[in-house]
Amino acid sequence: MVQSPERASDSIDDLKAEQIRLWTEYVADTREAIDENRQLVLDLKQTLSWRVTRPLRAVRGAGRAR
Amino acid sequence: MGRVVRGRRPDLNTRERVGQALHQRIRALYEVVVGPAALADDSDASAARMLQEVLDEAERDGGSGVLWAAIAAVSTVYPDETRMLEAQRARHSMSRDRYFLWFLSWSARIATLEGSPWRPVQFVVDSVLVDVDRCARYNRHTGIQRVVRETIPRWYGNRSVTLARWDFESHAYESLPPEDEDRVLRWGQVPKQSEALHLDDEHREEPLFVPHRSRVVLPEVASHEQNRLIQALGRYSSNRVAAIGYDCIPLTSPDMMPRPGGTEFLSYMAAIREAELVAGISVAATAEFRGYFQAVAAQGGHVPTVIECELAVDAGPASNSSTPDHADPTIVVVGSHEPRKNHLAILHASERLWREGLRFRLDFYGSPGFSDGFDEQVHLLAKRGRPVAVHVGVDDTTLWAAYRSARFSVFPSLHEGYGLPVSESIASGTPVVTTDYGSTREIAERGGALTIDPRDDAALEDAMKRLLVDDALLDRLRQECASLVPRSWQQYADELWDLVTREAAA
Repeated sequence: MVQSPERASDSIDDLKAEQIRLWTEYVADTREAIDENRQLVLDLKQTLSWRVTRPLRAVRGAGRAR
Repeated sequence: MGRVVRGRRPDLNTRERVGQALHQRIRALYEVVVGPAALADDSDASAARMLQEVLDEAERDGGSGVLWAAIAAVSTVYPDETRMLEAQRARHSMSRDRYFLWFLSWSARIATLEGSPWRPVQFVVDSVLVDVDRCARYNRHTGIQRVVRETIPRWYGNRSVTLARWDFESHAYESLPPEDEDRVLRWGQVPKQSEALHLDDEHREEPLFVPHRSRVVLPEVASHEQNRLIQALGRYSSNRVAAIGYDCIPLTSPDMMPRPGGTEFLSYMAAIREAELVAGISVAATAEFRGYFQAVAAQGGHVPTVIECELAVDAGPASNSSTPDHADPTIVVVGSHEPRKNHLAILHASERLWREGLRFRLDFYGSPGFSDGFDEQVHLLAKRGRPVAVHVGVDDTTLWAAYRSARFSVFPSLHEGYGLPVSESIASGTPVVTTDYGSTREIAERGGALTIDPRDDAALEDAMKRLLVDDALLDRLRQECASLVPRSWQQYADELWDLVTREAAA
C-alpha cells in the first residue's frame, strides 16, 4: 500500500505524540519501581537487623546473668 | 515521588504529575527558544510539535545553546560534556524524525535515574543567576563566605539577580528556601539557623532553574560533581560564566593543603576555564589565575579573561562591649589554624619573647583547620603559664573589638589569595605584622604594617618585639592606619557587578 505524503506525516506526528506519552509512563513507572525497591531494601535491612541483633542481645544478656 | 503500596499498579497520580511537569517544561522551553505557545493545548501532540520545533531550532542555531537548554529542560539534569557530545553526534547520524524519538528515549533514562521529573522549570533569561550553594546551606563564615555575604546582598537590593543553589543531587540549580536565603542575604541580622539536614530536599517540587542567555556568577568554589556540569554550562550553553578567583593554593602550594593536589580543585579550574571572566581578588591572585590559564592555553581552546577586582574591608561594627581589659598589651592573630597560616612560628616567636621578659597576651581568633601540632603547642604554653588563648566561633562584633583593643596583630601567612585579617586590622586602626610578598604585601604597602619574610623566625620575632617596645614606631603605624580610607564592600560589589555584566569584548 502506498501512503500519501500527508498521511505519512500524520502518522509520524502521531508517533511523536505517542513517544511523549511513553516518556511520561516510562519515567513515572520506573521511578515508582525504584522508590518501591528502595523501601524494600530499607525494610529488609531493618528485618535483618532485628533477626541478627535480637538473638545476639539474648546471648549477651544470658552471659551477664551467669 | 510519593510512596506506593507494594503490589499495586503504579499510581495514576504519579503519571499525571510527571506528565504535567513534562508538558510545562517543554512549553517553557518552546517559549524561550521559539516564541509564545498556543494557549490551553496540553495535548501530547502539541508537546511533540513544540519539542520538534525546538530541536529544529537547535540545529538551525549553529551553536549548542538551544540543545543544552533542551536537554536541561526535558531531562531536568544539566548535561555534562559527554552528554552534549552524545546528543550532537546522534543528530549528525540520524534523520530528523528518528532523532526526535532518540532524544526522548535518551532523556527519559537520564530523567529517571538522575533527574527530578516531577518538577517544572523556570527559565532565567537575559538576567544574572548567582550560585550561592555553600553559603546558603552552611553556617561556615570564613574568607569566601564573608565575601559572598558582603557582596551579594548589595546586588540583591536594587538589581535583577536570581540566587540559586544546587538541587538534592547537584544536577540543576534551584531556588533557595527562606532559611537558606537568610544565610546569604541577612547574615548576622537574623538568628543563626541550624544547618538543616536537607532530608526533604529530595522531594522538593519548586521549579528548577534553567539559565538562558544569562550571566551565571560563581562567587564560591563548587564541588566536583557541580564543576563537571558548570564546565559544560560554560562551554555549550548560551550563558556567560563569571567567577571570583580567590587563589590557586591547592595547585601552587599543595604541600600546605590537607589533601595535596585535591582533584576537587582541579575540576574547579577545569570548570572556570570555560568562564568568560575570572575576577581575581588581588594582584597576586590575578597573577596566579593568569599563569594557570596561560599554561593550559598551550593546548589550545578557550581561556577566560582574568581581571583584578580587589576585595574590600569595612571598619566593622562599633561595639559597646569590649574585650577584657588586661594590664599587658594584647597581640591578636586572626585566621583558621592550619600550616599555611604559620601559627607555629608565632608561638615560637612569642615563647622566645616571653623568655626574654616581655609581657603581652597572645589571642588567637579562628576556626580549627587541620592538625599541624598547633593545639598541642598552645596547650603546652598555657601549662607553662603563658597568657595565650584560642577563641573559636566568635561573632563579628567580638572580632572587631579584639582588633581595636590589640596593640597590634600578626598575620605571617605563607600563601594567601588576599588576607582579610591584614586589611581588617588596618581598617580598625591596629598595625599588623605580615608577609612581605603576595597579596598581603599589596595591602601592607599602603601603610600601617611591618612586613617580614614569614619563613624567617628571627625576623618575625624582631618585628613583634619592635612593636611591643617601640611606642614611636607603633604610633607612626597607627597614624598610617588612621589616614587610610578603606575600600568599601559597596565599591567592591559595584565594580564586580560592572565586570560580570559588561558586554563581551567584540
